[in-house]
Amino acid sequence: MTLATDVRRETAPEIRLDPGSFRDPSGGVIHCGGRILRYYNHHAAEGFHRLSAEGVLRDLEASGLIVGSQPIEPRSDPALYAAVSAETRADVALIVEHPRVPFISYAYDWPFEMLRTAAVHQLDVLEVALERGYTVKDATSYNLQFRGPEPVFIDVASLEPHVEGKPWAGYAQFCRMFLNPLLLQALRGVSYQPWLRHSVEGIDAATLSRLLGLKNKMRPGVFVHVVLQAWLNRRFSAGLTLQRAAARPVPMSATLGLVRGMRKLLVALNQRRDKTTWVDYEAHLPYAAEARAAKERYVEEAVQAVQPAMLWDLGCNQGLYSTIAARHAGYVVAMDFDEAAVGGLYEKVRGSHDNVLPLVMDLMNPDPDQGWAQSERRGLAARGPADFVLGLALVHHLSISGNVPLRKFGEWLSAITHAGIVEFVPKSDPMVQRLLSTRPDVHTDYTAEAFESALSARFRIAERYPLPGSERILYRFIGR
Amino acid sequence: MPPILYVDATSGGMVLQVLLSGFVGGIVVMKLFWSNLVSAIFPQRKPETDAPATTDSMEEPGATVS
Repeated sequence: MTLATDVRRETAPEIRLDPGSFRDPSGGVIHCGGRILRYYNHHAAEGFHRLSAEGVLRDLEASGLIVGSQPIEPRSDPALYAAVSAETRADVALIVEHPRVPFISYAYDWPFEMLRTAAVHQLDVLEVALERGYTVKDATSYNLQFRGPEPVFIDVASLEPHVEGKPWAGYAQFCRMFLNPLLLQALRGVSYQPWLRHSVEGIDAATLSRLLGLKNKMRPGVFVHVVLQAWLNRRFSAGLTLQRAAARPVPMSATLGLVRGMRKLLVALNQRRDKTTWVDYEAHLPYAAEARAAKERYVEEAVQAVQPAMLWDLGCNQGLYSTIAARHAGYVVAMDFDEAAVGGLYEKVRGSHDNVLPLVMDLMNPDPDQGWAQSERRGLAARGPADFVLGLALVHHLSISGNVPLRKFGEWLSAITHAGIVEFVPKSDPMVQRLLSTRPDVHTDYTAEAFESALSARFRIAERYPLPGSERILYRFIGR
Repeated sequence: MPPILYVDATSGGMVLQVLLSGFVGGIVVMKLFWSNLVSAIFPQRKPETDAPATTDSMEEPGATVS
């Protein structure tokens, strides 16, 4: 009896409310072992059953617009219902299961091309919903995720019946989270990622309006969605105006017109960014073709031997090795601080590599845990560990440019992965010489021996592979 | 329990949609008025053509006038 109880205790999956899922009182996301569940209260569950019965969910899922939802009936798993009710202390009327998104990312990780794709996707979901008599009650970018390069809407509970005459409640939020950041980059050439990372509610109309010149303000879409909206926000007091506005009906055709107009505006936007050093890096690699071919072959064979489910390519540039690794890895998260290079990679993999997720990530300052209670949006380390990492032509940037001691690099690596390949680029390399040309060489411990020692403190070095035709060395390492 | 509007819709965003719907409605009314005025002043004549008429065009009121 005691043994049976103990076994049950060990095998019962832990039920945990997602720390980022608390804003919508109609339900929430639950982690149960490796499963992703969503619970609904009675009112929201009725909405879900209606969406299901009318075939709206099925059609949205079939077109790839929203994530799938598999209902779990209370009588089929009463223990699960009891456990979720106990954990959430909520009225749990329905639980559904969603397929897992391999890697959670946020708008501040996305280059311009990805945020625009996500914005258009959000509008597509709303348009299809409206045509079927439903609406999407909010429009936060956190409701969208990427599976590889393809966006998917994950907050199925946001779909609710459209009330004829009601304006779209998510409109202002859509502008803050999608349209305004994209306009900031397209019209002013200012990256929105640092801004969104700081301001999880996005960029409001008044702030953007202050940053735009007269010529940009006079553009038709900008004038309406930014200048006029900012002026109206200032002009009217919220409570009273909302009541008066709600009394005036907005026909659904007008909301559809708004959605289509915004989509047109978004599609016409072009990213405005300077050409960076890293965009052309892969075309002009600073070492011989022989070394390049050997490196590609070595990486491919190593990844093929391990077949990792989750691989992170740290400092991926335009993803040469990410796409090679993607042939043998389950999923590749390709990260680089250079937004232009990551945007280029996104364009390259969309339609050709469904298991590569490109992200903008500065490894000297990766995403932190943040939002409410510093747990609403997870930092990079909390989204790991990876099964395998590639750190190619990376260490000299962190160590020489960022002054990160090699020992610290080894410690950080052990927190984010179980195994991988890292490249050591010696001081004699032209790229390191270039880094040292503008700063005093205080890096006395930057040697291959010191690097091996730092790596060995945390991992077992399985192989040391000097690249032919180069002084660079690849290290294949695995956890102890 | 009725659904709760937990997203801050902002007053400007709501009023803007009311204004836009009025604006779009106004444009539709103006277009309708303009096309009625033009057709009253310049009644359309059926274009002489050898091309076979489609079913849809046969159903247009103007298409049946010879």
